[in-house]
Amino acid sequence: MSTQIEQQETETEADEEAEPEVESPGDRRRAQKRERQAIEEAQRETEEATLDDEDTITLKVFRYDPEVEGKQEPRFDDFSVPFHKGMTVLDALIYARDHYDSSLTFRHSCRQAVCGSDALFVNGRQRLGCKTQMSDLDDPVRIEPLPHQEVVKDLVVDMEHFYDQMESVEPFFDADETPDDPLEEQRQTRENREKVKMSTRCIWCGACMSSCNIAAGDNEYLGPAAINKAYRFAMDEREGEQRKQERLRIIEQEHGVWRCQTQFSCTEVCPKDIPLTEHIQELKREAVKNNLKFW
Amino acid sequence: MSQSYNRGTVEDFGRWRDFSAGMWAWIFHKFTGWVLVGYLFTHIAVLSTALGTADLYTSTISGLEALLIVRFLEVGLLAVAVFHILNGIRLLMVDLGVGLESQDKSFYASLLLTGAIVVASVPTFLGGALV
Repeated sequence: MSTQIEQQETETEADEEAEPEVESPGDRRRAQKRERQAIEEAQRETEEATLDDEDTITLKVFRYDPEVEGKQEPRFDDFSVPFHKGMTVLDALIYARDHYDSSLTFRHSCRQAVCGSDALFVNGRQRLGCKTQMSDLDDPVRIEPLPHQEVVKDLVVDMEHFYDQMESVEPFFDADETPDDPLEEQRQTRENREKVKMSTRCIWCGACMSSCNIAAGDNEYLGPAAINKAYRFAMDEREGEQRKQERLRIIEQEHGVWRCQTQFSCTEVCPKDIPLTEHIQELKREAVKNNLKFW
Repeated sequence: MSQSYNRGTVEDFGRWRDFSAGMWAWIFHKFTGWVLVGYLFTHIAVLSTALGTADLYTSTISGLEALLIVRFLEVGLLAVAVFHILNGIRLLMVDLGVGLESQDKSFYASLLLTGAIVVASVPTFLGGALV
């Protein structure tokens, strides 16, 4: 019985779809969107047409491609990009790639400081391309790949070492005791959540690791991002004492928290404003309290 | 994270213009620390040659104090020691987790205080030698 009814329903649906005159809400939305886009496009074109020379900015972009002969020697390419209000470094790079040189390579995805793909070295500082306004930067804007990381091509760096360090602190929730009912929630107190709140904001962009010159000189150093990740779970009260001891063992090793010399470079460059040095210092105190017992 | 080719001044002290307060504090702290270690050894070496008699000690010290360069070095030593102490207090605060948001201000404050103390010390150290 039921199968029959379903069959009928699909048939009627198919019929509706075949009819061209009936406009579905989706079609209407898409039409409206097309109109809107056309208007925006026209606006943008008129804006761009009225731009004079003063409204262009110069990008000096690091170029390097080990696979192409003649590009193996690192060099800087200049791109002149029309400026518009609200333009970010990433927008400018996308413009340069789309209009001048399609071989210009850089990572980007969400364009809203969430995915962490486009950490770049802009005018001498690690910044997130999509979060940095062109109007805040001095002209010409010098864009380089992140320092202290192997360059794969142009602005793309090898993040493998960074990810290795992130994973070495076991960045996942792993409580000593889980509730008997697997569907039961494991609740955190508001105070505890507030404590780890900032550390959960990490987007794995690697800006901190690149800015840290201890990490640059010591490949085994966990780095600010990984220690921050460790902080997020070590401070989580739901995990229990045993797991916390295991976590502390990882972070208090020789190349763990003790390598940090509080230069504050990571805190300075973090695009998500995580107080990295503060977290590292707190873990240092935690490690000391854990090992020194006078009573 | 080693580099397979030279990226110029991106990764060395050619970037010093871009250093922020925390980085400068670190560099100055290292520098003043090494100067103080160097001074400690010189101090022991020089004074150990003057331990024979009370007169030998007095003549060695007054001989050194008669040199203008020593008077200037003393001002420098004071500057280095004062900065190292003040920044050490700042680092103690950082280790205790007190006022990490204003770590740059405390660095500037320790620089200013160092400057003030050094200027105030000039009459004492150079008074007899220059006037």
